[in-house]
Amino acid sequence: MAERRLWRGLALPGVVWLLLFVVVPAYAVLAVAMGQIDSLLQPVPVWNPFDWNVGFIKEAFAGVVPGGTYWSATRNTILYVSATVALCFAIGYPVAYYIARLSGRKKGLLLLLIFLPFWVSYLMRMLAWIGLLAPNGYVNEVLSAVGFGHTDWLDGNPFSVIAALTYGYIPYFILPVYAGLDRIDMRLLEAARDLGASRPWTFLRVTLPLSWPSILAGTVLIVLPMFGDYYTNDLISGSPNTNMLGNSVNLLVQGGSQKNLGAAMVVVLMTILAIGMLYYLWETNRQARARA
Amino acid sequence: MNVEVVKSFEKKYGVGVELSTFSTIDEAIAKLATGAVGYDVFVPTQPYISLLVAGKIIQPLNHTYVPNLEREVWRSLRSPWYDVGSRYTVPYTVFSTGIAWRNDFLPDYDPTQYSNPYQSFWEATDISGRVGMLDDQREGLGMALLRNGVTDVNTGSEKHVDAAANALKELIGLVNLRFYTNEYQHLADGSVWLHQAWSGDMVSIPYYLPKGTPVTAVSYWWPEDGRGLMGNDTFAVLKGAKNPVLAHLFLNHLLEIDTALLNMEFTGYQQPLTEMTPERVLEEELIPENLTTAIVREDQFEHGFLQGPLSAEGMGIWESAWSEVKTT
Repeated sequence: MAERRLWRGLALPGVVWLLLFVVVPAYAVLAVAMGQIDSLLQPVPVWNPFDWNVGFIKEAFAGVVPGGTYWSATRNTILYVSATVALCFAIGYPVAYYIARLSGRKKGLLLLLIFLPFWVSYLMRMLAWIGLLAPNGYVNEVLSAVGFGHTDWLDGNPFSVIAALTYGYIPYFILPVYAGLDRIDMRLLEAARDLGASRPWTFLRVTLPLSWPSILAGTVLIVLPMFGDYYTNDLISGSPNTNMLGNSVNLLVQGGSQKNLGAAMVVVLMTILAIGMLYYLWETNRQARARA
Repeated sequence: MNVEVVKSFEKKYGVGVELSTFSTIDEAIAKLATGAVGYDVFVPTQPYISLLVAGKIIQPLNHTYVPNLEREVWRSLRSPWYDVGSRYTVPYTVFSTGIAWRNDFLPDYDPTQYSNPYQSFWEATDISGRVGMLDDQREGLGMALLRNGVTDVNTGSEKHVDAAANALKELIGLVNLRFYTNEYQHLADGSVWLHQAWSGDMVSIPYYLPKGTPVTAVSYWWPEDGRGLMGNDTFAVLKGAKNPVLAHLFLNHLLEIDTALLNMEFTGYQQPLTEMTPERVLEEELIPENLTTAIVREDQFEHGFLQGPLSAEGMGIWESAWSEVKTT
């Protein structure tokens, strides 16, 4: 009994943290999204759920479906985030796999190289890319030197936005995948080979399924911030043709009388992401049960 | 604001001044409305003055502490239509919103060749992806209104504002329009060749041009007769100011020509003072000769289309229209 209390007590700081920094802010967003606006155009949160005005929420949900005001931003967000996750997997998984199979100093060095980008602010890294991708930047200079000619990377095209998102978020994907791959018991791979499985077959039937939870964790880690990202798009594109939902939220909350609608858009984002999170929880539970 | 301006005030009156900046005016108003912040002076952009007065955030001025208002400021701004009798504010900066372009990339471009110069944006299809507009609701829709022949840049007419929004949506499709507020950087690095621009930003553009690009590579146009978009910022004393006399003296300090020139050296933005002529700022080497069009003269200001406050209904119309433009 005392031991059970001790374990519950240890969870207390985490619970308090969640209440203060997750539940309370989420409730504040709801209170603003279903609140009013004062004569100074400032949103007035309504804390009592019985007084909530659902008009902004309805408007926000109606805006993100096909034909709605924010549909193009929703479509772009889904497309760009999906393409970025695919690229992060295609590039990040082999990198994580390679590092996990190394040992000693080389492993430490490569991990350090993966961590290095964290030491520079995300904004600074994106600003550096603007310099590199500019019409007379190094990327175009190199491409011209090898005969490819100039490309307008910064002319508001979606490929540059996807490339920038991939560059910005890939370290967050690699690290959990590396941790997952590193934990795989090598004896399982040896057993598969002893039972006659070829190398590719061992990878497909043993390594990949065992690393699935870490791939999911990496995906969640990059998808959550990408759904709210607006500055990558602002810096690399600047064109409304590549707007994402984060840009719409930023537009609404930055000024004027539409801040409640901006908060309602955040509720829409939270709902979309909650669906993804529920899948993640269900899948990790399923995996845990299977292991048990 | 140039910190040297603040330092010169501190030295003059033997006091300390703390300068705080906000990302947007809405953020500033949100903080000021709580009454929890103890500032004395505030720099509101002009269209927000009526809101600040109605919200009892700023206090009436005592003009006896601000003699430079009568002595130095343009006659037309001593009692402006948005604040008759300068009861609550004194003018800070004035600026025009015109067209800037890289003449080294567009040697044949000349907005005056068009019967409506703003139409040139809609005809710039051959430089798609290199055309930009200020990421600002009032400026973007304001230019589209002028392109459509509507000169009331503070209109509350849904018909006119929607037509302006539709024109911008068409423009996005035609030239893959980009939206920036740091147009001086994009023009300087050559990623954009034609951009709607603020005059003060063009004054500062020489500092952003890469090595080897001469300042003469940038041109700025605004109607010579002044019939173009204009805006201004103001100074006000806050209702709960703990040092109201010093606050007034600070306003007066800012309206001195030497202070204004010192400030322009850093910000690029001019003040509406009688001595702050294009000739004077050229003489002070604050602006290159090819960009003197970025200085607004008093006679131009009198004919310009000054952005002012919108009605509550008008604000809703403009915001919805801008949301549609930005989420095309």
